[in-house]
Order: sequence, then C-alpha cells, then structure tokens
Amino acid sequence: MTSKKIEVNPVNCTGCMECEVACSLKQAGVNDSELSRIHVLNVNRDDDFYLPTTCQQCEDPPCLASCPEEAIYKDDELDRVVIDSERCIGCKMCFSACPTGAMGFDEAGGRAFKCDLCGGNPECVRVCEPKALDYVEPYKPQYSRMCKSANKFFSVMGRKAA
Amino acid sequence: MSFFQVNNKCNGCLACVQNCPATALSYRDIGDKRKLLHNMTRCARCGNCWRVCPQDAVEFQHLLDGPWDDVTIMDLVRCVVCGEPLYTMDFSNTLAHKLDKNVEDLCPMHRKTLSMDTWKRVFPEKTKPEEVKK
Repeated sequence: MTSKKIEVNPVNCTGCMECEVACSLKQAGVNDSELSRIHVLNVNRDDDFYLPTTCQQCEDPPCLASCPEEAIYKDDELDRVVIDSERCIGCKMCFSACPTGAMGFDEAGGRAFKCDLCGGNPECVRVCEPKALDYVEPYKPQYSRMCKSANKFFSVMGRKAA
Repeated sequence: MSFFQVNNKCNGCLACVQNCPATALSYRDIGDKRKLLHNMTRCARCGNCWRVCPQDAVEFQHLLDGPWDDVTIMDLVRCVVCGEPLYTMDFSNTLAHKLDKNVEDLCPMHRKTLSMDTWKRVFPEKTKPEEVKK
C-alpha cells in the first residue's frame, strides 16, 4: 500500500518528449504520442517552458463518477484510478469529464485509456533525464486545509460560472 | 422507397417469394392486381432472390449500397477555444447530471493548458520569449 504520485517539476523539463515515447511504447507497444498517457505542453512555442501533464489520480475522480458501466475504479493498493477495459464501452463520458484533459481515447480501439502508474514503476519517471518527473510520496500534512480552501474557491467560482 | 427493387422485366412469377429463406418476400392478390412485398427487417441480403429470378428482374445492387438514413440530429458542442467538435448538448446534460456540475466546453488539449497561466505566473523568468531574455 502506497500513495506515491508522479510529481511534475516543469522548470527541469527540457521538452525532449522522452516520457511520451517511453509511455506509448510501454502501454500501447507503438511510438505514438496520441496513445501516450503523458503529454508535454509547450503552448507558446517561443518560450522554453514545458509542462508535462498526466493523470492526477484524483481523490474524488470525475471520470469514475461519470462512467455508466462502472468500468473505472479506485485501486487502493497504489492509490490510483484504473480503467477496466473489458467493461469500457467507449462512450467517452470519462474523456469529457476529466477536468485536466488527462483521459485518453484510442479511436482505433474504441476504448478510453489513462495513466495507471505502470503498476508502481512509472516508465516516464524512469526515463526522465532532467528529473522533471519524480515518483514520490506526496507532502500530506496540509492536504485537508488545501482541500478545504480549494472547495471554498470552487464554490465561489462555480457559482460565477453558472 | 424500398431497398428491394425489381425492374420492368418482372412478370410476377413469385419464384423469389418461394425461394426466400428468410421469408422476407411476400405478395397480395387484391382485386385485379398482384402486389409484391418485401420486408427489410427480415431480409438477410443473401441474394437468393436475385439468383433464382428467371427474368433477371431483381435489382440486387440496391440492397448492397443503399443510402444513409438520418437517424437523429442533435445540437453539437464545440471547444470554445479551437472549435473542435466535442459532444452533443444532450451528452453534456447527461454528464452534468452525473457530476452534479457543468463541464467546461473545452477539448482535452485546452483543458490541459488551463493551468499554464498559473505556472507562468509562478515562473515568469522561465516563460519569457527568447529575445526578451537576452
């Protein structure tokens, strides 16, 4: 039982895309960034700020809540959110529900896919040369306070948006 | 218009009706008219009617490449930034009901970039364009 998470430190990221290649090779067997569970963003193209983004393994996952087939479940062993692709029907509910856009969809296979932390040994972290990715125990002591403040923020912003 | 069509060579012999293994063909003799009937939901498109027809009257091609029917038309929601088609309005409503809140109409790409502004505020020196840095 562990609650280790993939920690992203974008300042160290050089944009080499090694993580995307390694991820798609390990998870899909082909080198295809579309099938990678991690994506490196460089929005402006004129700066060297690269942001690797992947599944946050949410505490209360919207993908899990939206799935009509109960194909997504929380794995307490690794504290991760997993898709049972046998149950997945490819309705894209989770894909559209994910607030960080981390859910992937395989158009050819017709199934959703997401980061499963490679079963406790994330390939992206292993290959990341500049140490922009790390697989560590998150800093927990202030989680409850952060959570409370985020909920408060959301209730204000949510009302504004509605 | 029926998917099963016969041309004017048909003489109403009913060989097709007798030989249809799916009983998708039938006929009615009403008054002084004989009417040939076809039921698409029963038809297995095996082509037996076309093979047995002594008059070469069955236009089987219509059963193979028929037109597409409109089943339903719904309102489409697109990404508010790039305009990529996302889902229908009804899909969005289903999702909002399940999550108990409205989802932002953004494609995965632009959802990912949402946090970019915050990151840039945290590391302004790292995110300046190259020329400015020099």
